[in-house]
Amino acid sequence: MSDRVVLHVDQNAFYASVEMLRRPSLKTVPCAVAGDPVNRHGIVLAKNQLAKTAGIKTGETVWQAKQKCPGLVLIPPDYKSYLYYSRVAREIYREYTDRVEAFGIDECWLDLTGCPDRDGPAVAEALRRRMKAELGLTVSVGVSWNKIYAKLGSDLKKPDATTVISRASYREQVYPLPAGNLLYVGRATERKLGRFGIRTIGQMVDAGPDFLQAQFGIVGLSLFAFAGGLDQTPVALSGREVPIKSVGNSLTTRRDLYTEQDIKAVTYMLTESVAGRLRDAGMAARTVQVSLRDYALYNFERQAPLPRPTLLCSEIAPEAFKLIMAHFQPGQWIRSLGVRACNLIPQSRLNQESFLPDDRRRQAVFRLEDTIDSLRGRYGGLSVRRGISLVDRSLTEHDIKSENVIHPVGLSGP
Amino acid sequence: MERTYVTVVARITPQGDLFPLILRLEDGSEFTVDRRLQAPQKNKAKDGTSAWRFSCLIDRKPVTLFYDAGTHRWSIESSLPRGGQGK
Amino acid sequence: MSRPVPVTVILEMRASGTRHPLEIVWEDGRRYEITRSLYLGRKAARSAGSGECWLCLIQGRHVPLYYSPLTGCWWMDGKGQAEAPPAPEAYRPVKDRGHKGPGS
Repeated sequence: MSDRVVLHVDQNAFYASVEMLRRPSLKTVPCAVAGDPVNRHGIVLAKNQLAKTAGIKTGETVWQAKQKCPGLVLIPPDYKSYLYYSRVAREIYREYTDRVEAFGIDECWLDLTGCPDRDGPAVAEALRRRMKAELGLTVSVGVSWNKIYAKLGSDLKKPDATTVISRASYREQVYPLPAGNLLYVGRATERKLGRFGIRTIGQMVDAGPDFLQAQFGIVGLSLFAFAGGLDQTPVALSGREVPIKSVGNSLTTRRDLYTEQDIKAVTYMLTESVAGRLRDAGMAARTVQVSLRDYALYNFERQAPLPRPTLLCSEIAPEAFKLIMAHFQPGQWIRSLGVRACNLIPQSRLNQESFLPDDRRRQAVFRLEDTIDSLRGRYGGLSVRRGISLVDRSLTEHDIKSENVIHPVGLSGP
Repeated sequence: MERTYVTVVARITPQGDLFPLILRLEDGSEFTVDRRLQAPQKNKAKDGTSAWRFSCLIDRKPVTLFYDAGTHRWSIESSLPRGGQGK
Repeated sequence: MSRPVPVTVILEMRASGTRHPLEIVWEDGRRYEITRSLYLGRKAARSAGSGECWLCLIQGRHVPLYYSPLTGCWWMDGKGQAEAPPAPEAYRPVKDRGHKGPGS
């Protein structure tokens, strides 16, 4: 059996690149796309080369970024544009193969095996040229015989480059790389490997499958396969893919929360906005995650599966609230709260047609929430409030949707 | 309700607003659009296509033009009076 | 250097779905007839942005005309400097919350 031809295409500094494409003057200053730079809880989602040179890192707070670079220009995210360019890029990829698997909004795997154009490096070069000529964006492309190595390849040279990881060269290219560079090796796994003196991908391979399985369970076998270029995971057929991995909103409130009522009000408000964004993106969630930071800056995150996939605030909010209250201690003053919808599926996969009274009520709620959305769209998010929001207006006097914070896949880790 | 595709010449403002100027049917008959009666309304289609309704005054009669922003095609309900100003 | 200039377009949208720009109105109000146009497809503009491009013959010269499906707007590559980059926002320090936590 001959090798597959797998490409991994990674948009360079995607959000920042789209902003610079639309406003080229931004290329001349250090700039970063950050959620809500006006209030203090924004984080850097993407940065341009000048900002990178100034030491700005994706994922750090706006506060930290400004310390490093006071002249940093901050741009609020424009997800509509990012989704548009992401979609157009995928249309271009689909001209070469129907095996196009999106991984987040700015990364894609392509499988060219058996396609008319199956010369990996040639297609990689064609894509780089077309991205620049047709979209004004640059990409890094990795070419190899499996998804893991293809992704390692695209990470090796940035921006605007093609890296081929071949059977002849992979040992020199891949084995010296840190274990943490491997897809699915997060910080915890990296630390654990480190305790055994395993720091590079090559050392993972040397450790052998039996050892890795003994330490990590069945996952250890996968880790060994990924490290050694043995991964056989196919590139999924393009179709109903999900470009966004999760949708969340968090808020640092103007005053701390300490009553159940206050917490409920803010939770519902955040969830309204998340539900609205899920609807806009045509997605439904299967898991809800809450995050909480208290006055002592103690943080936690917890997640729970939703009883069933949904995009309704009235179904997500009670679960989110339950999760928060399960971990909230009386006397704990909450400084910031976040609600995130994860494990997304396209809205079309929810069963719409059903004669169960429960589902009919659900559909009625969906229509009501849709009406609320269109009213909000016309008159702004503050015009329609739930009863509970009126409890303490100072808390909820934020139009959250326009102040949202979203975490692209790259931050929360693979 | 039958829908027929038509040719429309429109003025598009720098902000992207569309003002139909001329309507041309398949048989070549042409109609001048006097004016747009109101802001275009989004047509709620089941499959989420971006359909818009344009209420216009043509030959002093109200006519609804349907526009698909995805395919850039215009259509009318086939009850428009024939005749017009000729080609 | 080129800056994006939004323009008014008189556009013929045929029943078949093809689009033919007939005339543009420049930012100074002057009208320019498009003698002929050639659809080039997706293209990154010289000035800014990317979209669908028509190569238009206007007064004997071929000039690109762009349309963005994202914004629904038409623009051309104008002469001269693009606008200056936005200024970095003054960083606002954290507001004092006025209490030190429970028990205060």
